[in-house]
Amino acid sequence: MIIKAENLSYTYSQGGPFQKDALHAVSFTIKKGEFIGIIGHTGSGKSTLVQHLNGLLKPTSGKIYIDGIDTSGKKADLKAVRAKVGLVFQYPEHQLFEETVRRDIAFAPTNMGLSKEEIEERVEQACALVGISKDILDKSPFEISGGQKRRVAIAGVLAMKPQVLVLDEPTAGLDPRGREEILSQIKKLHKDIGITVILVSHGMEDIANTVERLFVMNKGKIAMEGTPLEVYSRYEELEEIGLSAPQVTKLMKRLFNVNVCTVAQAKEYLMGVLKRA
Amino acid sequence: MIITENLEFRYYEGSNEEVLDNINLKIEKGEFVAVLGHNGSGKSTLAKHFNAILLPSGGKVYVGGMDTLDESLLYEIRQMTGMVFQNPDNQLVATIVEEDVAFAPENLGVPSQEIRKIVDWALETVGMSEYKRHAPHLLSGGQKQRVAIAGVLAMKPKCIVLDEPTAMLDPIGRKEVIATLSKLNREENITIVLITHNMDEAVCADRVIVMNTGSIIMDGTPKQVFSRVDEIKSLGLDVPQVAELMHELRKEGFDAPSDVLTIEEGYKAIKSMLERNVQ
Ligand SMILES: Nc1ncnc2c1ncn2[C@@H]1O[C@H](COP(=O)(O)OP(=O)(O)OP(=O)(O)O)[C@@H](O)[C@H]1O
Ligand SMILES: Nc1ncnc2c1ncn2[C@@H]1O[C@H](COP(=O)(O)OP(=O)(O)OP(=O)(O)O)[C@@H](O)[C@H]1O
Ligand SMILES: [Mg+2]
Ligand SMILES: [Mg+2]
Repeated sequence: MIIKAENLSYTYSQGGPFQKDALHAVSFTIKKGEFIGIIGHTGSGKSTLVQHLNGLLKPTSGKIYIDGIDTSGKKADLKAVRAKVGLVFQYPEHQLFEETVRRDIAFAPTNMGLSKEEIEERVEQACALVGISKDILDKSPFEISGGQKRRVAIAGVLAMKPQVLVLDEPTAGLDPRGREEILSQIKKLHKDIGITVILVSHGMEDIANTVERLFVMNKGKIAMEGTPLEVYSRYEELEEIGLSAPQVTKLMKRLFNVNVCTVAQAKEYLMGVLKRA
Repeated sequence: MIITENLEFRYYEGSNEEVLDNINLKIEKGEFVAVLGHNGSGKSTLAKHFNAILLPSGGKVYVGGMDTLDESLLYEIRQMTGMVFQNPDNQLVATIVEEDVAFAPENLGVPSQEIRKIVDWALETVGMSEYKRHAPHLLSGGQKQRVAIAGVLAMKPKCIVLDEPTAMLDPIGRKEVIATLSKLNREENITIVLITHNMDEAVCADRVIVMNTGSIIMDGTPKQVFSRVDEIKSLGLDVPQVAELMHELRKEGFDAPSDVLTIEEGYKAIKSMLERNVQ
């Protein structure tokens, strides 16, 4: 299950009044089982890019291959692509439409024609993964809080059991514990069953704590690539393109000129240089 | 500016699910208040009481001295308190960005030359001038959020309530929005109520209120609130990374201060710990 983009470009409303070149000749390869992060300023093209990963958008020029399928090919089996790649949208709460939370989460598995027992089991598992308590399952998805809606939307995609999980700002609007819980559950899924994960986020700390490899987007192009440590150590460059680095990265660079990107790494370093009281 | 007295709220009549439970709060004119709390703790519900979108099931809410239960005051209350909603799509109404921003001042009967100026200023302030002829629904997530903020700035209200206005913004955009709010607060004495899940933003406020299942459980300066690291964490919240680092060091037996929230403060604290090392 490899994802490969070759000179992928995308223009919105070509020829129209709102024509916008959102992606310019982007190329990358994502291997099976990788955990990729994508960061980039507002409007840099992240959502446009990830919507190519399940064939929702097709390149204006260039190619994208999902597990060998060229999504712009005439006979491309987009249904197969969507079964493999689960996408949680940036404002997933807009996709909630069923009468109850339970039915919303069950929507995709129901469409996949699974048995009633299997559906129930998947709904239960998905709720446990994202921390949805049983007492909101029979509520209307319009009568729950913003963060609760978001969890429901993520659960709906997890219930499909995709091979590739693409999350566009999944933790925006979640409280810190919720954020940590969902990210650690996703990390666990990645570790236990080898699911490929692509995570778009403005949370620099979340990215630093989670992903293995990071793409930095700037104005429709990939401007940097590397491990979180490599990317965040160049935080002056990041700040020029609307981004930043975690607090501890800047603190430790200023104090000791060392590169860290998590609190744990900073602590370990400090314990080596400070004497106990 | 805003006073709540024994405020209670239920979404359904007769429901025993108390979404707000006896909230007593006083926000002075010119304060910059951050509101924190877990998902579903009642932050948005509380905020909607500040411009009479929701009305108390019990108790009272006064905005600039006006009782929100008095229907005849609704217009004045809404003019006094502008609100940026949690989801910008619910807020954007026009088909062109600048029309959207002009919507409120037009409704308030501001002369059209003045409107032009206000709209340009508001879009400039949120960094969206180049998109003024754009269609709001075709913008990226963060761009929509900026336009929604511009729409409220253009109302020039005395109090601005923002419900997670930066959730979809990049780090610099976030900083800019907070800097704009601080500036409006400092220079024009506009009262700011900022709901956020971002602890670094809360540090910029004068006062931090923490909600927990419908009640206010902490209320103090950022330093007071964020020095209670274990308590904050047990509420499902977090502290700024530097505060967390200091807390971790204390747990390991180092003499690290508990009132450190910013990089600058962290830098000084660790420098002085290093100096003590050599003594
Ligand atoms: N439907 C559309 N029609 C025209 N232009 C669009 C459309 N959707 C997005 N754009 C533009 O394309 C560019 C890239 O948008 P995209 O949504 O991919 O950005 P993003 O990196 O996801 O931003 P954010 O962090 O704010 O979500 C932006 O300048 C945006 O205004
Ligand atoms: N329209 C509604 N009808 C019924 N119950 C609701 C409605 N909106 C919210 N609730 C419930 O009221 C409680 C408080 O919700 P509120 O939206 O105020 O929380 P919040 O603190 O803003 O959460 P978040 O951080 O997720 O935005 C939650 O339990 C929620 O499920
Ligand atoms: Mg986006
Ligand atoms: Mg809310």
